[in-house]
Parts: sequence; structure tokens; C-alpha cells
Amino acid sequence: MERTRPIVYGKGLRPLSIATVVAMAVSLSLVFFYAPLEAEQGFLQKIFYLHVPLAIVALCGFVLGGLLAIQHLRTRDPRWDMRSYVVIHMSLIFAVGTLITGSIWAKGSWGHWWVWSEPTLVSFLIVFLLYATYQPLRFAIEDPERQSRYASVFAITAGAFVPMNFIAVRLSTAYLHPRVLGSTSNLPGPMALTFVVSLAAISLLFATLCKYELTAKHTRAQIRALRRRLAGESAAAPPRARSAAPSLQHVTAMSARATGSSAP
Amino acid sequence: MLAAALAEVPALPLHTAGKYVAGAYIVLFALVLIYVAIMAIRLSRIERDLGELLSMSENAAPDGAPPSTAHAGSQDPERESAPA
Amino acid sequence: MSGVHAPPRAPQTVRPARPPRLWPTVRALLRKELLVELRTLESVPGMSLFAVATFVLFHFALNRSSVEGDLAAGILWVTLLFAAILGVNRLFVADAEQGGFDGFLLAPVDRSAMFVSKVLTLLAFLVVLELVAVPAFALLLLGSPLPPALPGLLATLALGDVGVAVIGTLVAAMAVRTRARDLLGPLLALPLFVPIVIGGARATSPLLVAVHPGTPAIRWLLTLGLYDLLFGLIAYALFDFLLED
Repeated sequence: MERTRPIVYGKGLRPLSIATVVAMAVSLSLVFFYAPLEAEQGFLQKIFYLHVPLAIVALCGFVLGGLLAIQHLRTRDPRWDMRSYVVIHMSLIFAVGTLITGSIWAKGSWGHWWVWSEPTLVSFLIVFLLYATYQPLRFAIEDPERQSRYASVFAITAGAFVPMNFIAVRLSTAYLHPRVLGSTSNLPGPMALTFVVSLAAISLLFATLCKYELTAKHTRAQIRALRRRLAGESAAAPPRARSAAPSLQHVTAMSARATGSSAP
Repeated sequence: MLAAALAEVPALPLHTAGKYVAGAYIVLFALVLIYVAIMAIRLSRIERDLGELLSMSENAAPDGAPPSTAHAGSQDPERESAPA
Repeated sequence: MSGVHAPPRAPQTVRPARPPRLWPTVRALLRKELLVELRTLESVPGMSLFAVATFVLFHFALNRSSVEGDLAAGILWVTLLFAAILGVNRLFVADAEQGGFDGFLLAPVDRSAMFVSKVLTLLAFLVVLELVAVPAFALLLLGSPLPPALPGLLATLALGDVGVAVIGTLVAAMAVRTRARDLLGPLLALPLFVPIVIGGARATSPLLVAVHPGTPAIRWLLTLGLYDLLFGLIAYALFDFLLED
């Protein structure tokens, strides 16, 4: 007896978004009303509570994209590829946010919009350049199954590259300047608390946006499937335009099989 | 160590630093709002599609036969270029 | 005794044919690759010429007659990498265009053999490239004597070459059957090469100094070695997924 309960990606989206709003509000309040001014950089240091969590979440997102891709290659279930795609996409956006906030911080601290002496920024630039090829790679392969497979290989390679890249870049800048921007060690109590809450808030934001994106994609796929069904079996399925996004052609409106849990 | 760092990194006075901090937080805000806007466009497209599908199913229901494929095909938003 | 069958012979056990082991397959494939290259001379002369031409360009671009230290190491490594990319672009083209993939997939061999043979092929190309490019560099641009720097330089180049070969093979396989293969290959490869450049250039730069040349720091050689090992394993594990069709 198969269960035919359809997968609902949007389940849990509401409590997650509420948690995100609460966490962000608390974190912003802590940043601006609770955390003490830092001795060296003064008010400018407050960017730290935005820039570093963005960086950490983006990096974890890239690695997570690689792990999801491993699952895809192991199970060949297109849903894993969809999750990997969304997570990498979102991490890329967060990486752009990291670069922009880091650049603003550098301008305020050093007077230059870019500094080579900050290993986090430099590593992010390299990682950004790498993952910016993810979408073009997908778009250049037309066959959906091969596209997913090659994209997963890329995601795993790139996911392994991210930590190695960080180590290598940090080694290369170690002897140039003392790190000023991104140090997270030796934070005094109130600052540490603010940092942890900010990290939680940005992580929740990431999770919410990913879930949002997955729900939207899944809804689109279900609408397409419904349209095919209503147009009748005899009608040829209209050819999907070439796209970089993984297709969810296995989805049908009524008989999507549940995997025992409702989506991510 | 602190003195050496202070000598290298001129801390901005509050009224100047405030602009940078605000700028950084505005960037985050803008990114999230852009995403909200993209989602809004998608949502309206989904609503339009569902309206079409509803009318298609109403056409199908009375006579039990699927509606003409020409009707269905011409309204397919998935086709991003004219059918060959 | 007529009418009685002889006792039946012990049934011959039919062993399932075991695919040939890895190394004989790799040797055969490697021989094929090198023979093809020797006959067509598609990759290596082009790569070597490119490197020498790039040195000339650098002379004019930097407006210098001789370089040392960091600058020398940087020019050498960047030039080698760009020349390597030329080889990477061509690595799988013949297989993709002339059905080499299908032929290989039909053969009862260990699929990893293709990966290993291609890596060794690219490695061979890189070695020949360096046999031309490094003396050319010493002749045209290098401001410090080459022979004392050679042992450290060769060690660093060896480690870097392995990394370039591994990543180049993986990236070439990913890019060859896409639409924009000549563009995607370099775009994918260059960020992945960054740690190799970091390790290689940092290790080489104390060698290329006229006064008091040093030795490559172990830290950079370790970085290169670790990177080679990690990506060698990853590429070996993932390559099969690129082949199936």
C-alpha cells in the first residue's frame, strides 16, 4: 500500500519565518543597544555582527550544497539535486552580501574599498568566482539528468575546495598584516552573546529563504504537471525552455510519493 | 599590540562610521527585499496559472473530454520563445 | 563395460570474467594518448610556444629585462597555468568528438582507468612544457642563476603539476560535453588553481633570488601535497559519474 500523501515543502515555513523575524529583531536590538563599543574601531565595528555571520552561513551553505549533491549521486533522486541547487544559489547571494559588507567595512577601516590583507574577503572572492560558474555550467548542459549529475560533481568538488581555499589563503596572508576585521576569538561576554544571536538570526534567514525558494519551485512544477494532466494525455507536453534549474518532472499533482517526511 | 593596531587603523568618529554601518545593514535589507519582490512576481504568475487551470478544468468537466490542445498550448507560459 | 557412461568429469567452474586490472588498462590507454600526441602534436608544441610568447609579452608589459623573487615566481607560475589550460581544453576533445567515450564505456575495463590515464597524460604534457618553458624563462627574464634553484624548483613544480593535472582532468571532463566548453573549462579551473598558485609561487620565490637564495618553505610544499592528495581522491571518486551516459 503506497502512501500518496504529496510532499509539501511549505510545511513549517510559517513558524520558521516567525522565528527568523524574532531572531533578527532581537539580534539587531542587541547589536545597537547592548553590545559595547569596541576600543579600536568604535561604531564601525558593528558591521562585524553582520559581515561575519553572513560569511559563516555562506560557507556552511556551500559545504552543505556539496553534501546534498553527494546524496543526489548516491540516490539519484532529483529532489536532492533541487535542494543542492537552491542551497548553492542562496549561499552565492549570501556570499555577495559578505563581499559587499566586507568591502564597506574595509572602506571604513582602511580607506580602501578592497584590501588583500583580509583573508576572509580574499577567500570569498575566489569562492564567489568559482560558484559563479555553477549556473553557466548547468545552463550549458541540456539533458536534465546529465545536468543534475554534472552539477552534483561540481558541487562536491567546490564544496571540498572551500575549506582548502580558506586554509591556503589564510596561510598566504599570515605574515602581512595582523587581522583586524574578522577576528572572532577573545570576544568579551556581551559581544560574544550578540555575535551568537546574530549568527542564529542569519542562519534562520538562510533556512527560511531556502525553504521559500523550494516551495516556490515545487509549486511551479505542480502547476506544470496539472496543466499537462488537464491538457490531456494525448497532448504532447510543451517543451520546457532550456533552463539551469533542475526540473521536477517526476512531480505529478496527485501521486507524488511521500518519503516519510515533508520536505526539508 | 593595541597601540600598534591603533596606529595602523584610524577609527572613524561616530558620525562618519554611522554611515558605513547603516550602508552595510541597508545592503542586507535590500537583498532580502529584492528577494521578496522576486517572490511576489512569481506568486502573481502562479495565481494567473491557477486561474487558467481552473478554467481549463471547468471546460473539461462538463463534457468529460480534455479541451482542445490548441487552447491549452497557446497559453502556456513555460514557452519562452515562440514555438518552432 | 559398454553402455556404462564414464564417470562424469568434474564440472568446469565458469569463473565470471574479471575485468583486467587497473594498471594494464592504464598503461594501454596512456600509450594510446602519448602515441596520438606524438603523431598529431596537437597540444604540447602549442603549450610550449604559448609559454615562450607569454614571457615576451611580460617583458613588454612590465617593461623589465629581468625579474627576481616574487615577481619571477609569479610570472613563471601564471604562465605555466595558462599554458596548462590550453592542454586541458584539448584533453578530452578527441574522445568527445570521435566516440572515444562510448568505446571506452563498452570495454570491460575499470572505469577509473580513464581518469588515471588522462591525469598521467596531462602530467606528461606539463613536464615537457616545463622542459621548454623553464629554460626559456631563465634565458629571457630570470635575473638570478637557475642551476642552484633547480632542486627546489623541480620539487615544487612536481607537486604543482600533480595538482594541475588532477584538477585539469576533472574540469576538462566536466566541460567537454557542454556547449561553451572552451570558456567553461578555464572558468572552472582558475579558481580551483588558486591554492596551487599560492603554494607554488610562495615556495618558489625565495629560490629565484640572486643574492642569498633560500629554500622553499616546507609549509607551502605541504599545502601543495595536501591539496594534491585531497583533490586526487575526490576527482578519482567523482570521475565515474561524469562518464556514464
